Amino acid sequence: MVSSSSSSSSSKNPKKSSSSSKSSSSAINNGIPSAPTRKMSSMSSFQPTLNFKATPKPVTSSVQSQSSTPTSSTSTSTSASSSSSSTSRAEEDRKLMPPPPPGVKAKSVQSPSSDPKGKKREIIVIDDDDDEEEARRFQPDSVEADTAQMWTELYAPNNENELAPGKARITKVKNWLHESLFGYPFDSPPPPRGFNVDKLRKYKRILFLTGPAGTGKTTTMRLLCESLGVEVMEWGEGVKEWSLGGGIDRESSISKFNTFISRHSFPSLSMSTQSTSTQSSPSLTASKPRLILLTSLPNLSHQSTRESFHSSLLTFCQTFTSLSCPMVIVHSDAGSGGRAEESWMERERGGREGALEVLGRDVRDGPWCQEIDFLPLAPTFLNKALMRVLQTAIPKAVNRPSHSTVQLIALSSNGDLRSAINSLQLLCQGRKEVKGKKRKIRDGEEEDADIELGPKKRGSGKGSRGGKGAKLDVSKDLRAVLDAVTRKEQSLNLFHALGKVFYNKRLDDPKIEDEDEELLQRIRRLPPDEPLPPHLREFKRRKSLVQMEAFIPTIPVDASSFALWIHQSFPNYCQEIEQVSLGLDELCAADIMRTDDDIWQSSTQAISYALHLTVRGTLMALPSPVPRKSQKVTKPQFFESFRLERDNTSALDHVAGYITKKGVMASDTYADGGSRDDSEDGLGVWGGMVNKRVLAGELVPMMVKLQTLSRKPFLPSSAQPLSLPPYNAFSDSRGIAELTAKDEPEQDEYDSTAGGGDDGLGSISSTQAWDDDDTLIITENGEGRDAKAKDEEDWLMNDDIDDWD
Amino acid sequence: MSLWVDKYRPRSLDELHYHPELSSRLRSLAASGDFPHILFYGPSGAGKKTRIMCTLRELYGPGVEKLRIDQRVFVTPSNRKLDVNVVQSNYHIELTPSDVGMYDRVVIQDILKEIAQTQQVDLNAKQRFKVVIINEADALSRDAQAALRRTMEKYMNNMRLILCANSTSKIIAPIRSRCLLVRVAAPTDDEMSKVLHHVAKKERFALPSPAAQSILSTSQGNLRKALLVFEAMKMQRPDLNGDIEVAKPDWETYCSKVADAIIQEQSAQRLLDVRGKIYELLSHCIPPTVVLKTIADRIVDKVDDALKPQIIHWAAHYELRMRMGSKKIFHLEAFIAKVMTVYKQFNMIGYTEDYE
Repeated sequence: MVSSSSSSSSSKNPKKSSSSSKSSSSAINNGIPSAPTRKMSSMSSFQPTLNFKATPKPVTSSVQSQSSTPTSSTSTSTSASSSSSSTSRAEEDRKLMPPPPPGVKAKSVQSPSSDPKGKKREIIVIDDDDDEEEARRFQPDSVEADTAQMWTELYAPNNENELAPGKARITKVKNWLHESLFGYPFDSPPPPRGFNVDKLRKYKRILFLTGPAGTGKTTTMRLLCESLGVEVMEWGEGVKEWSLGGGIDRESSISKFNTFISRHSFPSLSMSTQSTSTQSSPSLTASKPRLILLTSLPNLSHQSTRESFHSSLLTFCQTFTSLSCPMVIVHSDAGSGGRAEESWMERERGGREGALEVLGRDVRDGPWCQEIDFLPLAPTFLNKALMRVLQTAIPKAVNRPSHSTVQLIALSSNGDLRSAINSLQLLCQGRKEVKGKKRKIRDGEEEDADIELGPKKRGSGKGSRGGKGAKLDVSKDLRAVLDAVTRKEQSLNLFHALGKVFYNKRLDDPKIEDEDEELLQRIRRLPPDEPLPPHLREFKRRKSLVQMEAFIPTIPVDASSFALWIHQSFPNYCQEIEQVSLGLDELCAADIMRTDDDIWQSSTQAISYALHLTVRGTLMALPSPVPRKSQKVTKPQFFESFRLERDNTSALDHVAGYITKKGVMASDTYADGGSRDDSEDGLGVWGGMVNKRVLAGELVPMMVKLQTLSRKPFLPSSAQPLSLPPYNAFSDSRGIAELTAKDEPEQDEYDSTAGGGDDGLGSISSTQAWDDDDTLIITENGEGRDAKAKDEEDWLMNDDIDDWD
Repeated sequence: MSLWVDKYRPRSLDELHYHPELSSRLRSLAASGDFPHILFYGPSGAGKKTRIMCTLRELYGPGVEKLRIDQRVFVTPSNRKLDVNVVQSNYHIELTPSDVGMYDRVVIQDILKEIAQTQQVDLNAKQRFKVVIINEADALSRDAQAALRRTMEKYMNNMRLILCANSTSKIIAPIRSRCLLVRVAAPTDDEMSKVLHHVAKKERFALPSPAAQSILSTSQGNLRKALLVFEAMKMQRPDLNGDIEVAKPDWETYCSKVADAIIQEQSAQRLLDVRGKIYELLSHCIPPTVVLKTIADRIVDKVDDALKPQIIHWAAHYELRMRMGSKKIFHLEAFIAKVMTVYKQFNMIGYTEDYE
């Protein structure tokens, strides 16, 4: 009680004094912190030590001496009484009164706050003892000297073969670079003299590299530039320029950017090259190719910044001379990877900053720009890269962590090489610390008899997982460590978690022998359920093997996404529609709890209730035992549909603008005295702006239809995706097999209507007349897009690991 | 190339085909010089906007048809920029603040203040005030409506508001009491067919009455829809004779096919098949509540009388939940699953009873 109240009040204190007092106390209690601790500690734990050095010790002592002053003595006494009410009163006082000098307050908390801190440190030190030897074995020899640097930088690839991304992609990038710099592709022989290289160069102005973080975009770029002998001019948000400008920097970052572009897009004058170069001929240096590399972009969410960024890019593209250099923009879009562990809302937000956002419409759709997309790296590639790093970092093979450990890191890093290498480095350097911390957490949380159960159960759960994970022979202990180091095993667990729900295993299921015996024992030991009253008999179920307390924390995605995943595949596991209905009702109830725009959203409780409701409701609704007919878990269609809906909404906005424009133009002629003419192409009368609902539900569908019939343009081409594709019979691969013979006549009927247009649902061919008097570029035609959507909805069983690159 | 809906839209109050008493009242209001704030309300496609434009023309003459589109940029308190499209003439300005969602208050305040603080500069203008037309007034947030209320009082000298809404129930009482409420009822079938025949005459052909009848029955008092359907039908079958199919919007056909599929088979597999179709509809911006309603309507048409109340009950139940929830698909699908369950059980019981 004492320590908790005092520590809470300590957090309210001004930062400086509390941190200084903490640092001093920790240093005093701890003696000299061991070297690895300091090495491992993150910035936040570094801070106190630094402060300690900066602030001379007399400060703390003066604080102590001040405690005799009357103001501070009262506050000390209240906190010493340590009742919660007095603490709250003290807090209230603090709010009401102007803050006293920092030293005074620090005193009131100093002595109690030092205790827990010191204890923590001690735990770590004690725990380290038994692992010390093992940790030392992993301690790499070269690390000592280079601790300041990350392995990602230290052991970056030196040649093209060492690059992690796929060969095809690298060749693509290389070709582009070569074309943009020299005017012909890399693998073709140089063109004859006098060939106009600018013909090609003119259209190779901007290369846009996208892909999730850690897939080697920047590394590839730098390495290729080096190998081609290109001078790279990089633009980064000016940290340095801040300090150079004497602290006052009135120039906005975007205007700096413009200056940068105009300054660097042309080679420097020959005068300067002559004066600086020591090379043989000045003409050679002048022609040394240059390239602008943008790795950090201005704040594009700010509209005017974005606009001026776009316009400067456009100017850059349009002003081409044979001397100007190309530009490469590296943009890691966190969102587009479709990773399971992000919340889908976040992904939508992140995904919004796509190529369009960065480049602007004119540049993206113009001929100057090429986009190359880097995919997350496949585990085999990661593995190779990690092994390479390890071999250079730790020369002695004995000292390296085992091969399977590396493999596990590769598997769990989700295709992010940077994070994989960081994890590896962390593992090799700081195994000791991590272990210590881990132990401490475990001690704190699971002091009851179940200590052994937690880690063991987890280990066995992973062991039973199919696929690559199962083959790895990694000790449970090491897994636990890796868990702590990487914290990223989650996407592997998603299917595991979903499977746990969908298979709805219960005690005394017929084929239960392959289950974990320990778990069964434990569940058998639970007290039997109370018998249900007669009117609730229908809800009687055998005991579930899914123990919620253990299961909930292992769910790798947020509650809302998990509900989507459940929703997507859950009907497959049901036998009767009644079960589906029951389960969906629970999903609905959970969804209501978790709406995005009401008071519930702020409550984390509601989210956890929603998750419980989702899981428990599904378990209740599923049949028991669940029939196994090799059902597949698929990725929620919701995401794709959501994306399409967003695209279509913007198309709709555009149509609204178009219709308004047309109406306004027509109205103008009336205003100029034009009278109604009843000829074929009579002008429309302005009837006000059309609202979205009417547009989506009435106007656009009917205009699409009229357009199909009359072959006259009513709509701009951007409205093309808004037309519904024909109603296909349930022709998905899964549907057909299930249909019984009695359904076949209808089946035929559906097919015929789908093909023909006689029911008004005729397909819309791409040759159709769309109004093209508009500047918008034609978007993909609706059906092609649809097919693509279907492709993307592939089976996820092998989606997450194997299919990259 | 313009649609018949636009082409034959009345330009003046005299040209309007129905609600003559309303037209004469609007005319006298425009002539009186003491023009009030007006709230037009009525179902979609009844002719509210058409009447608003006619009234404006009555107020200011043909000058109001000299329109221009402005894109206004508004800055929210959190420094986000919003683009709002605004259509305006020298005498009026038209906007849809609900397009920007929760930021509509900012739009309302900024625009109204700007309009209200500038005097009419055109000396030849018939009226001293400008008119602000606010579309979808019933979709305005409560904050925006409150802001509207204050401005209405404050700037009465320079500005009149014309609000346009589907129903008055979502408009706060202070605004309702400050406006003249004008209800534009949906046209009756007779009035609609009068309009249809008028258009047919202008297009120089005769509309056979069976065709007219089928148009009227699909459009249900929505004149805009009736004219769109009419035009599509004319295009499909120029003579409009015989038993021709009514050209409905694609999504309606889609929905009714989904409803048929539900009635045809009740299984988890069928639900999954239907799900794809629902996603298709939603991704084409068809509002989920409309999808639910259309499917429910179709099912109610098809099933036994004893089931109808149940279906409607569940439709209402899930519609409410859909409004509260965030993932519409869950609720739509739960509705479908429930309907399947109800239908299946009804069939089973019916079957066993017959058997006995």
